[in-house]
Amino acid sequence: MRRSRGGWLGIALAMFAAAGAQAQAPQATVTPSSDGDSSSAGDRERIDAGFAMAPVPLDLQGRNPRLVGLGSYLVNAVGACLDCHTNPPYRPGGDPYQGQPKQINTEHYLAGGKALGPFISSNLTPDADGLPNGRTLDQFMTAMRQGLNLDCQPGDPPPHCPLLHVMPWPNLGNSSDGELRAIYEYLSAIPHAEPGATR
Amino acid sequence: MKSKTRQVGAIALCGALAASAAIAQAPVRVAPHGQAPLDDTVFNDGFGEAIDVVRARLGFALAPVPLDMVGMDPVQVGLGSYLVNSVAACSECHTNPPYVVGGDPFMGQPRQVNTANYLAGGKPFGPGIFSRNITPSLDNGLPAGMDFDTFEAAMREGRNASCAGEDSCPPLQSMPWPVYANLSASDLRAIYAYLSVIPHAEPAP
Repeated sequence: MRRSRGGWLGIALAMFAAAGAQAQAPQATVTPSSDGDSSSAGDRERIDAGFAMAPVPLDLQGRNPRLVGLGSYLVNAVGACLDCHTNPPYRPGGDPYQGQPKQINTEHYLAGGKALGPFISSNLTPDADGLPNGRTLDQFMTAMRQGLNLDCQPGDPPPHCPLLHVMPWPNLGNSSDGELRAIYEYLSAIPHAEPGATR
Repeated sequence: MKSKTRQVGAIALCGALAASAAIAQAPVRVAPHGQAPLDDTVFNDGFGEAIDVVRARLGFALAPVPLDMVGMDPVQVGLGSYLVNSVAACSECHTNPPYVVGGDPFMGQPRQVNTANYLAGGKPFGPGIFSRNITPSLDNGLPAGMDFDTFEAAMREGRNASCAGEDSCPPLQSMPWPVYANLSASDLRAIYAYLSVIPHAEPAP
């Protein structure tokens, strides 16, 4: 656990922060970057693309913008979170699965409420305290890595408890701390929304 | 302080170059499930450029099957494995079933991926819709039998290679191609590279 926290600090340093160190030691950077940006070329591209593809306005106040951008890329290009956590994912007339030009259902974006068998996807948007799904980062990491359904009380029966179902946490839990942190930071920056009506 | 920072930078540079050269053989710390599978040596050196190298090393640790690396770029393949086996979660739909009996994390069991049918598809998603076998085809050795352009059209536009060119060919269903349309060119290449080096497999009967 200590190592993993160290790594977490490390990724923050490596990916996003190290402006100070880079300024003092430019030879540490073999990237084409000369602006003190220690993100790899790949992540700069991902971060920029992440901001471009976010379908909702983002509240960056007090947040690490690079984490938000990378998180958006992971959520909106790699993770396909929207397909289960937005109900419905696309607007009427904007459903790419029906050959229509893609229009994301921004009004209910990531607000959950989609029925997946006997399970209902969670609302991932920030609550009144600004916490995505009402969870702290530690709680989010626990849910992703161990698949724990944090809504459960001790003794709550299966199948809804104690583990999350449908949600591919056994794969997402393979992500590095940095990636999970980025996803959390993005989910913190999107607007609160309420689920669309279940159909 | 300044000289120390320089030293760290130099070490990081050497470390990253070594990692690039020897990535396939590099010892990778595989964390038990439930903990971060994080190799933090490069991160801790503050060496941003090497992040995809680190992702690639994690990717090799996550790959559940042997990889045919002859002639392949290890960083590209490793990055592809990382994306496929973590955030993109491809095996949840393209492996049937994703886990072996007794190794299903959704039942609280220690995770054991179904390597015999890994990414070989065959999982039902509604009437007449089955996930595709995305392992290298026996005919041409290409993932799902697709060259990169065909793969890209499927991933970005939902083009169904089974009916392409026919009068009626609706886009792929279930597959989240409207999301993957946003993948960077290099990440899409990395995913294709990884799918090119996994073993061919058939769906479970």
